[in-house]
Amino acid sequence: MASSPSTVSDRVRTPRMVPITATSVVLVVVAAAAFQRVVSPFVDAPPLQTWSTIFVALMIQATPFLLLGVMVSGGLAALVPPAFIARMLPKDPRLAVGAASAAGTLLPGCECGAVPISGRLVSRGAPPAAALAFMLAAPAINPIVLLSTAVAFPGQPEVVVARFAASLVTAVAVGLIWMRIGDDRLLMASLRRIQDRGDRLSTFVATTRHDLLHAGGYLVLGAALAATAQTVVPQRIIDTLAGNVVVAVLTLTVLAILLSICSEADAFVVAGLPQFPMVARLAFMVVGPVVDVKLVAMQAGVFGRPFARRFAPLSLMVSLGAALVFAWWLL
Amino acid sequence: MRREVQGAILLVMGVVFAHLVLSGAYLNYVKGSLLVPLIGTTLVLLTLGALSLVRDHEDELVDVEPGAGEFPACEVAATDPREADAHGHDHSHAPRIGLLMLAPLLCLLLIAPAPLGSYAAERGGSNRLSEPQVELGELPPADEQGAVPLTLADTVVRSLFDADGPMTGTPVRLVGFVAEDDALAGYRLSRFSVACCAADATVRQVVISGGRTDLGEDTWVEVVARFDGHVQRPDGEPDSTGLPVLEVLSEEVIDPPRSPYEY
Repeated sequence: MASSPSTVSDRVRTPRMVPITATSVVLVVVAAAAFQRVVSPFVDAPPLQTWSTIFVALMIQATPFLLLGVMVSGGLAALVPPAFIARMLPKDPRLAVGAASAAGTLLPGCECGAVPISGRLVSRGAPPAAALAFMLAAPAINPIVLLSTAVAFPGQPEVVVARFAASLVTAVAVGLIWMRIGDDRLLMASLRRIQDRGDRLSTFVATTRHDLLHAGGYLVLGAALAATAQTVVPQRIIDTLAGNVVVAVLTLTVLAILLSICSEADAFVVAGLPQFPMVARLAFMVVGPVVDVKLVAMQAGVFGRPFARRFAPLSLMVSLGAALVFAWWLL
Repeated sequence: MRREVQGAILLVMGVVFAHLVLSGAYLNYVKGSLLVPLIGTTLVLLTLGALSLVRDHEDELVDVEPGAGEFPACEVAATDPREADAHGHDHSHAPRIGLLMLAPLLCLLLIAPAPLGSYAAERGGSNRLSEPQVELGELPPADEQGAVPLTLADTVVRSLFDADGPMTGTPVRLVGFVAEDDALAGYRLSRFSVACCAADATVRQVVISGGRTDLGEDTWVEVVARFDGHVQRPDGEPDSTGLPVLEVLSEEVIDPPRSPYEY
């Protein structure tokens, strides 16, 4: 027997003191703009300014790519019939992982767009392992990233090759490992299924909007963390850690996770650290698009925290291992 | 979070992005080539926001398959299988975390953060770059005053790795901001090199010897100076880097440029 709508809504709604309305949102923003002059003497401390610049910059830079990703996911929800993805991919799940990884070359841009698309692929019938492989591959092997790497390391094509190979291997390996040991119930529990009703435009708008706010909210958390790491970590300390190879690799791996530099830009950042050995610098470029605070925050949002708790360490270990192998072999 | 609230968030995002694009303020945070994607983003945000506010019949997003329930990624009815049937009215749910999207907007509006300046320059490592593996090209042509306009990044690369090259002994015109260093007899002319956005910025600096001593930090100046081969290697900096010292020929205080970073 169905409950009356108001009972269900009451049970579901989180109790809050202040109802949030559209008007209050607009008022808060307008007030912020209006009070800027009043507030400005209190907020001109350089660390706060620097933190804010980096935080805002990360969000401005990420939003176009996040929007692209959620529009693709909205399109998947509105236009692609549920079983279509499953039919498009190879039947053998291992080949599906490989195909999904290779498809990563098709999505240009920041890792922010890949997470919502990956979630939507699963709810449209893709095997989770393949969708996850796509999610790891797309930010790391798309043409823009490879081009940036080539520009940052001119005359050193082996760096581009090593990065491409290590990232592709990481995506495939994590997908295959997840097929074996991963618990798909973890991520299915958090995904929302679309109930196809009404017209396609409504579905597209509703899905895009939902995914944008959902993934975007978690992205904000990650960006705030990354901005803090960037403002707080002093360069002198980083420099002293470059000497020993093992320490250097660990340092740049940790930095890649904390700084959350966009995959199109991380090659330039690491090209400016010549005192670090190449193996450490490759680790920065391979681990960064796979595990960083921005990404883990978004994965926790879209797939749930229990999923992220398993997936992040797995992808970290595999990506680091792949970087070490390819650095030893090619660089 | 109701549909209208979501729509309001998207609309205000669109308005803020429109302001960033129209005023050029986006250049304080991201590279110039992001202009077209930002314009597209603005239009999409405004459209989605408007559509969300005016449409009165919409799909619901509900769980067809009840999940395990203890993993709420979304706040709404994730566990109630009756939710699909129970609503006579429509509403679209999105999780409250979406409200966080207002945080960068409020930060931008309230704090109006300035482009990265002397504070960030002093904390980051200066002149972190590696020896170029390809040939450095010829210098650009000199302007009417006989000085060659160069970026700070180019100046630093040529000073450190091409000291016998065409730049040594040639007057160059540089634009940057002042980052002072009390230990030196001159200020550091600085500018950030950015690949993607301010988050990946690295600072390029040269010491201007013989320059004015009354310039405050973060003052923007246009300097004509000459590199004669002298590079400082401050203690504690890696061997691969250094601070080129340039003799000043002329200095002029200028307004902050529209695009504060170099690419």
